[in-house]
Amino acid sequence: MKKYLLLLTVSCLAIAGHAQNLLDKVPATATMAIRYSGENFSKNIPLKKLDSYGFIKEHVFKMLHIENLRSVQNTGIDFGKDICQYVAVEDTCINFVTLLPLKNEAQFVKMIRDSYDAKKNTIQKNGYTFLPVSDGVYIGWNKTSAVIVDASYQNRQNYWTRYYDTIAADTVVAVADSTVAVTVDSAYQFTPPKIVDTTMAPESDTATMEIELAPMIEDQAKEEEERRIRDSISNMKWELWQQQQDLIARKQQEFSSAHVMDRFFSENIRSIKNEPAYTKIIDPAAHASIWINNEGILEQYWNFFEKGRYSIFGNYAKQYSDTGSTSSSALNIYFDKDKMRMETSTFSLDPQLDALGKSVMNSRQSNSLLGYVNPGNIGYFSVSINSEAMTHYYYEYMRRYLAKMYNMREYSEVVDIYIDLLEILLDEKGIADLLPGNYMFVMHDMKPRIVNYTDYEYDDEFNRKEVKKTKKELSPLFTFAFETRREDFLKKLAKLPVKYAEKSDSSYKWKEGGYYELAFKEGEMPFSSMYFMVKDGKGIVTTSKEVIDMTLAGKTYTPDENTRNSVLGNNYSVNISSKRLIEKLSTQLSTESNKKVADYLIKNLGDLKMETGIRDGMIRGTTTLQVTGNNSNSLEFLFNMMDSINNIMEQEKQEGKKKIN
Amino acid sequence: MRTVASLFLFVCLISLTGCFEIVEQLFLKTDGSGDFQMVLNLSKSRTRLNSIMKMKTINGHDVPSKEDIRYRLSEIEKTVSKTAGISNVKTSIDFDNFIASINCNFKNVAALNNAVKNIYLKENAGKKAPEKIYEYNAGVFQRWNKYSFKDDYTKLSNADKEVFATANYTAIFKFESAVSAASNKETRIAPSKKAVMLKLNTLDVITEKKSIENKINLTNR
Repeated sequence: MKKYLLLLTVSCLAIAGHAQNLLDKVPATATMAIRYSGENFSKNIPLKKLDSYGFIKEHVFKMLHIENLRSVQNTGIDFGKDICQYVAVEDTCINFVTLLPLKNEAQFVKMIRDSYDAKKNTIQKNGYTFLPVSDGVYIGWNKTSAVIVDASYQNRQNYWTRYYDTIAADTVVAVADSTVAVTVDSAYQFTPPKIVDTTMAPESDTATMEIELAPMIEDQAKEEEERRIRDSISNMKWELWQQQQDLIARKQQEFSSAHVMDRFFSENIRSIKNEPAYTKIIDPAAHASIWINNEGILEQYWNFFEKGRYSIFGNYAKQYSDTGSTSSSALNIYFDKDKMRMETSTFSLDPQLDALGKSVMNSRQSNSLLGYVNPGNIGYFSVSINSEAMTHYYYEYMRRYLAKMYNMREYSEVVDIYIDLLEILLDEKGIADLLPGNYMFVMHDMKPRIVNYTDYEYDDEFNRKEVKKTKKELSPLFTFAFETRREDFLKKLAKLPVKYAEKSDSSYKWKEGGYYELAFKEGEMPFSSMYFMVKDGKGIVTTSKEVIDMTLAGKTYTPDENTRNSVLGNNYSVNISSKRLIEKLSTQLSTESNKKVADYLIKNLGDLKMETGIRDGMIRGTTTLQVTGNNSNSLEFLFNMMDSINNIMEQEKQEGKKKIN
Repeated sequence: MRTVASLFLFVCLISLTGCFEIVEQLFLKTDGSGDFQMVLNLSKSRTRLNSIMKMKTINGHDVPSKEDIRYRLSEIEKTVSKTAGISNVKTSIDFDNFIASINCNFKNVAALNNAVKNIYLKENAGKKAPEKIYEYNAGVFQRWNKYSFKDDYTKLSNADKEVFATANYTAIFKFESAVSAASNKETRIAPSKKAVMLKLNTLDVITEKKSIENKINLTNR
């Protein structure tokens, strides 16, 4: 756990820190690459400022067991330069690699020693010092740079597969990995103990009963003893197998890590920074950027479970090393003064997949669904995609995905025919008629409603009497609306439950005007009714009677210009008014600390907005989180927010202790 | 551990501004017999509980079904019924209002102590159960509290602690004889002197700021 925390912390602290370009050392075969721009970050939040945050010293350093470190400036890491991280498969291991620029080697070594076992010996290698810090985590450094590798071996052998193959004769557990030859120590050689004859002689032949029962007890005891011995042999074999797999994994992980470091400290490599899949979507001016090879990551995910840490399936571990044929996504993060901005981009170098992806986005949200976004709403989520194109995209995606899946490679022709058959059987046009792809979800408001509850009152003689009281509870008013070209079908579907509701205790009823109401018993749901309606090519599910009345009257809401442009100009458009949402929820809070956190967020948190559509020939999205309050920029806001919430919680904890004591 | 897990599940079930009341009511005759009732009223949180009951897990804990709850209650009923000196055991649960109760008659308070002990031992196998909850001797009735939730409470998250901010514990003890004095300063004595009530905030009880222990002196009128 600690190693992940260290990697995470280094990433977070990197946010605070110009470029000896470590990106040059990120290989083109990486399936994920992260870069933190030291220059941009250090402008936004100086290290001195970081040192002033109590939660870093109180919690982060403590969590990492580096309490002696009193300043982020004393880590020896040069936060003014770029820091990079990447994931790549090499030498049968998935490696998560962190590349750090150093300004003070001694301070860095001290931090590592404080964090891990100080007694561990370093190994001098060609141009760098190597230190295995724990199983799977290795650190290498010289005067100017450090490399941390978290390696996970991906070819663990499954005991049970081997067990059933060799059950008849094999009593010696020994396996050799193809890459690293592990000498099997005698301690791992196993010879089962001899089964000792445990026949018990009866103590006396004078007691008739005992003489009669003795052979049965004897057989049972012998059987039980043999079973116990067989069990212990099986358990010991399984345990030895696991020990040996751990040993092989450790050796292979160390070998792989050393290989990564040898290359980093002594070679020029083919860097990802020159790959078109990377350069096309990564902005060098971003404060932080994350690049992902989508298919590569997916395959590594499968390998991790099949043959990595969990080793649940057979003998196949795929090593992904292709950056040219699959789709890539990127996230560029900017910490502007008044907002945090995240730009996402997705594209495929494969023209067929790229075209299919874009065709999915060949759609525009309708004005009629836009009309359900009321001014002053808490939030909305608008989706406009081409359902028919989506089906075609998935046929191709599944064809490629399944062909690469575990044990399916040999059957790629079968997969191809199966997908063709699916394509013949499914009516894409029919699906697209039913749900063309325009959807809208709006959280109109959260209004208090009066609910009854049972309480007790007592007379002078303390006789208890049940009384009905009322209280206010928040009830969500929301609408989910979607377009359809098969109004006839949806009308039938909406009518269907009426007949069955009559025979049960359900209160689903047809209402005058042409809609259905499902009423709930009081206290059963946070709203009293849910309404269903199919009208003018739309299906509507809502908890707002106002929306039903408005639709029946053929009217709509009039959203503001920004909302209109965002919804109609993008395939995905999301807006959450954080302030409004927290204000509503805070009415339900009762502890002082939770009220203070809510007040802080109301003052400092602005709206969250997300827009995605086709721009510059690829799928691009922009997510912004507005920041208000007294913060120099959005990065400082993040740190200030964590610090403030931590302080509120700490204060409450101290007050609580006082109360208890 | 099971106690902690049960406490967590309990907290999760009524979390987020949950509000509840525990009512403990006992009528004691001069001969030491009487009747007992314990009520858990979660009615104020019923909308949220209805929503939670539709989920399988919450905060990593399994949400019991109505059948599970009914079963557990029937098991408690069986355990109490089997205790010597306890009769007319009845349990009830109302899922519309989320009110659960258990009623019984007892021959003497020792039988009631045994019933509580048996329930505790069934839920906490291998642990030492408190011997005495109630004591009645020579015109003095005592309510003891040997349970402590302080440690479990300090381990709870802030959100979970919120549950106890508005919860109440009410103890009503009624007698055939008149009450002459009660040791707990929070106790209210009825004008007839034949009933006492102690109403406390559950948080104060858990944090041991206030106690539910009481020593009630009765006159032999």
